[in-house]
Amino acid sequence: MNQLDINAVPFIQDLWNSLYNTELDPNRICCSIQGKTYSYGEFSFQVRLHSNRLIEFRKSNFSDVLNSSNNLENNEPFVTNNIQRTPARNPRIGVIIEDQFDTYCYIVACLIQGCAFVPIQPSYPKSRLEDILEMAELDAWFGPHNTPVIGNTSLFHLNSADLTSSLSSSNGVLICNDVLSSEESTQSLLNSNVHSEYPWENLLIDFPINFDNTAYILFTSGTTGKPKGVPISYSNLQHFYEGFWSLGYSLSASDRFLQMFELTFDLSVSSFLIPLCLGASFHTLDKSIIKPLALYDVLESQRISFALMVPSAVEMLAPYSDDIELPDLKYTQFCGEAFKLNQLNTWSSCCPNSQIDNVYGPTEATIYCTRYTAYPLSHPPKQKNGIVCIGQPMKHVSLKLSESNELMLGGLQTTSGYLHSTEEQKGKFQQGYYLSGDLAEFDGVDYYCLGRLDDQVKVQGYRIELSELEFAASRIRENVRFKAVAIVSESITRLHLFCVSEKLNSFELPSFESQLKDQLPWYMVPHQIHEIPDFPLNVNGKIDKKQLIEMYVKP
Amino acid sequence: MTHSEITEKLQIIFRNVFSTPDIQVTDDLNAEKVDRWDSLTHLTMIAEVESEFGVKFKLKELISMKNVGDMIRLIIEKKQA
Repeated sequence: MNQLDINAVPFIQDLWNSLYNTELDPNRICCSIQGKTYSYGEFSFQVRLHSNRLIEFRKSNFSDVLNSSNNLENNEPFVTNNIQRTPARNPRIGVIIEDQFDTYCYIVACLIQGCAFVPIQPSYPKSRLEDILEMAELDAWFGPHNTPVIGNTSLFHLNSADLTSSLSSSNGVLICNDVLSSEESTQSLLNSNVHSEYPWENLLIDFPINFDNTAYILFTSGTTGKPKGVPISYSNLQHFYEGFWSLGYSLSASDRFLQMFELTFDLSVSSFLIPLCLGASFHTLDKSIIKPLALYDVLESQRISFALMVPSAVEMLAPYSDDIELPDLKYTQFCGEAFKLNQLNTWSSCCPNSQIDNVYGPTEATIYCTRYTAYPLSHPPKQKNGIVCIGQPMKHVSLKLSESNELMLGGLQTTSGYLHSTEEQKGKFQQGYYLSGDLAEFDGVDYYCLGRLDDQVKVQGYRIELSELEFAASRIRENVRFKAVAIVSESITRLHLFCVSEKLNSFELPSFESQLKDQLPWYMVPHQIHEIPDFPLNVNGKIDKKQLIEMYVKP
Repeated sequence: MTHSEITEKLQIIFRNVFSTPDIQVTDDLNAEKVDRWDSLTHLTMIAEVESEFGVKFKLKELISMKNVGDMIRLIIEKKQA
């Protein structure tokens, strides 16, 4: 990848063209966020504002990096801002995420400036944020209006006055938590010449994007109780982008994309980046409406033509399928969970005009990396055990099966490894392939995903290691034994936590539950906690999950 | 069926579905005010309400419901129709 011209990352050029090509109408719709519409003029104005802030920041804090980036042979670590860095490391910018217009502008500014964005969910429990911040080693922050900002110990209780001291101790600089309101920005837009002040060629020459630099870092559930940091490079993202366009979708600037994902989830990246690079628009859900209903509301009222969704969303809408009418929907992609045949049938009968693709892939292989077109088809869709097949690798992806039939993901979309990885985590990457943990089968044409080899489960698309939940629980109650189980009922996955303490009913469930909520993100909090006298065991002396469920969970 | 009769029945359903025995159902109650009221339990609650009152909501009606008061008005409307 290093042979490529580092000034020419094609998807960044497309992005720039959408934002700053003076021949395009600045009033065309860029996005609607919770029902409010924004134009490309407004978006590009804000992006440029934040880009300038990033440039200033890099000039004052990363000048050493600039000087030595011309000579990558020189691997001597050097010091900026009191942190040792290797020359190839680009700035890491924390973005405190909210479903707001500004958040998207911050992220796009980071990408255009060749920085790594690290989305930080402010509602995460303090201990999880601390783990994430420790690993992420952020250099600076973007935060929204009036949000209390974090320091090295994720002090969300801090007010802005405490900001400077907490940030200086984490070596992170707050770039911006004070943006113009959209009325002000529209006014400034009218008064200024957006396109002339900072010609983009100059910016990129100042700060060339190295293909191997990190574009974003996301954190996923880890077995040891700590989240794992997955860095995705500009090269990974560019190859996903090329792979996407090789899927044969017929799309233009007039298409309208769904963006239903939280920004800590990589499916959000394609949901906003593809439309922005195309000059099209993306649309988020109205938060005042409860989620599956908000999803239908945006699909219908915004006349969405391209939707990337999780299958459980359809499951929840299924009882109302008679009311669903979405004539504008041309393409639906399902990702993030096993896509079931009945979900496919529901959706294809609701939206007969929409092509339905099942796409598959973990965060480690950049957004998604295989595709199967399940509708329309001349033959029945391929499936195993009622799960739709995941199809074939995308353009820059290569797949193979290990001896134990574990699906291995190689090629240019796969990350080079976790942040600060342990030996066990390093073992997940072998000869350029990532061991996905998914059990798979290959019929000579297409791949099928048959389930997990480990205890990882998905709740509404979020990856959860059951051992991480057990680990968090055992930190709160040391003398209690725990078993976490995911139970699927009517295609909805719910977590149950079983607890065996030395003395029955000594558990104090309410305080335990609230402490657990303080440690885990919402999707990892168990649906039900069962205090039981003892675990039923199978013949091998292991906890009998089936019996456990039969004994204690109401069907 | 009167507004208060419906409220009473809803209270039983809500306490059960949201596993929160002290919920007081009022017209302005909504998901933000109940911890266990999320996208999954919401749909369970709707299904329970539909079967209790023998009504069926349309998707658009569900989208426009902002609180319990909206739901009660819809139930009364549907029972009269």
